[in-house]
Amino acid sequence: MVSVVAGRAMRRWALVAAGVALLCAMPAIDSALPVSVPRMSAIQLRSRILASASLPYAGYAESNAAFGLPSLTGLSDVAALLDGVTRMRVWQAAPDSWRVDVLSDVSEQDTYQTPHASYIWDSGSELLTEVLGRYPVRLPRPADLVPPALALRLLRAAGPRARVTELAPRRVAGLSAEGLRVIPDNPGSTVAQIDIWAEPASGLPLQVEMFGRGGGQPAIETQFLQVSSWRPDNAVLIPQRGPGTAFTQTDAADLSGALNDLGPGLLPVSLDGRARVDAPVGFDQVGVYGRGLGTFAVLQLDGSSGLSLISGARLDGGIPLKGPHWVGVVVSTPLITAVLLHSSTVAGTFVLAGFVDRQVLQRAAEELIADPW
Amino acid sequence: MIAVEQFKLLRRPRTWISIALLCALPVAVAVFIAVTHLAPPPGEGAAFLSAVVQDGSLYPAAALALVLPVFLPVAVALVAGDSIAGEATAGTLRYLLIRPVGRTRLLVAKLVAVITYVLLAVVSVTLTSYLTGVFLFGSKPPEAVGRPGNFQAGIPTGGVQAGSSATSLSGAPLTLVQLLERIAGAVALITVSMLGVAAIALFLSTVTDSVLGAAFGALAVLVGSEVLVTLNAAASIQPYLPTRYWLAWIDFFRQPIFWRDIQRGFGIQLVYVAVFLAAAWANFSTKDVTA
Repeated sequence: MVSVVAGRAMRRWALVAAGVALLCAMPAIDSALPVSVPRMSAIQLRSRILASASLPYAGYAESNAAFGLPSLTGLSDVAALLDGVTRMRVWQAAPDSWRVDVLSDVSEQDTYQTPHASYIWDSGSELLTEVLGRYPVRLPRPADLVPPALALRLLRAAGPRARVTELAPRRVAGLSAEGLRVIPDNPGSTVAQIDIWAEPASGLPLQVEMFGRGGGQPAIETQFLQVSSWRPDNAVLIPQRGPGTAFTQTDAADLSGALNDLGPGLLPVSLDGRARVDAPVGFDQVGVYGRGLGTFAVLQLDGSSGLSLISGARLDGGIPLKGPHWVGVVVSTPLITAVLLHSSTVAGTFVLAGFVDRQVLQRAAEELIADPW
Repeated sequence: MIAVEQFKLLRRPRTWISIALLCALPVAVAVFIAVTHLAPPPGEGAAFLSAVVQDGSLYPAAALALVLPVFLPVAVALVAGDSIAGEATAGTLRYLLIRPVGRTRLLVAKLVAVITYVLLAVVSVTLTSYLTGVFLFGSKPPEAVGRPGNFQAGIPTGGVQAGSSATSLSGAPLTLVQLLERIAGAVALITVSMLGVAAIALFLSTVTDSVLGAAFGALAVLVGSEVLVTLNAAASIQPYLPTRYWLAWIDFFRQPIFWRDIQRGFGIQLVYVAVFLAAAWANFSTKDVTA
């Protein structure tokens, strides 16, 4: 028999337990709310996404990448971007007027793009840098991982020949989103599929997942957790300086200085049956082959820097390659494959890297060292 | 009843000693930096510590960053853990309840006393660090901070804007009023965050008669939460952990203010306060008090 006090205690604990259960169930209830979107075909949705490039928006997005890149000297920022979580605040008024802040707990690094110049603010060094001119070639940066930017880049790269199918709608950042699966039409590409969810009325991409071949988990996923389609104020899009901050300017073309070790750039017009495409002005030493999501780049390093790269890549888990007159290494990640080959008959070291599988790059590398081409 | 508990809190020497110790750490750090001129370089050391040399009025933000991770939660957990368990250990809980006072009212009075302590601690650290910062590093008048000579034609960022008092994490200048508003916002969020700690310790204080048991129990919850917050595999539960948004007060110093995590920080702490106070009420109101 339950005493009066024990019964009262049970009732009070039951009340608390019910409250806790309700609080715990709220996220599940929220995610289980039905998603209502107007029906449209995958082709229509792709067209709408491609037409959304100039939409203004502001929001907060997070990307989570697992490229599995080896540690490369001087590329730690890129490795952090492509292996881990990146938190971003985003404002876009137009394709040439936007701002992306990368947040950490106690600092931030902001990139501003204005119609005339771009700026980088680093709160750690309290330095604002104005970048003069446009980068002809550049490394990946956080702004590339914002869902609309990544979705547009991937859809354009996949091209009209890629197969598109519909995906079940889902709720992203509190908005109903229509889904689209893109399967690239590029033999030898490491990209298996790209899933994009976009706001159906405007076509604004809200979430992107990119899968490598043989991977159950996306190699990269990025999504808005908060977004609204309003035009940001100019005060947000133009950098301002507070007291104690420093200011400097740099030339975007300075990047070519980082390629001092490049060889003469005498590369064939095709490799493994893939035609060479035009490189940006000033980067003739870099050969780009293939199209869309089956592209890879080739460059030739002079001097001994190539050999040290090969030994470093072997130490980081790369697979060694050896032939009668050459040594090399293969680095494979779910999306990116790289082959480094040093030949005693051809001066220097060839570096081949791209969204293609190991066999494609090995065949291309063997063509390169097979003299003459 | 509430007035009695407030009076007991305020006349205890340990209340003031613990607050004095909390204030002493930022003061000591400021003195070392002022004497040696060895502030951590930008991007290193505690948050905002490198910036205070430029402007001492920013020192409250650095001081809160110094005491928040360990010292403040320990002090709050000890005071809250002492609320009921301390009375039981001293053998005064029975006598307290002999008076015509309901247990719920006693719990509410204890809670208000803990809230008072948290407010006293956070505001004391803020005020003493503000005075210390301004005294040791100075607070530059706005017109002296602007450097119009640095402006370059055609470059919107060539010079520092006049009228600014400090620099936000986003590089944009903040006026003195903006700075004070943001410090007030940070104080509010930290206070609410500490109330979450206090609620857990208060609940444990109704479960055990050991003050240290209640305090260390609350601290164990916080340490466990901190471990999970840094674990990628626990990402699905991280938004619901008590310490997940503790550092969101720093978002007050971004430009524009990043409200998302601040709102979530307030929200999750209020949920913890509500849940653990309800549990404390359910446990204490029907507990068999023997001590």
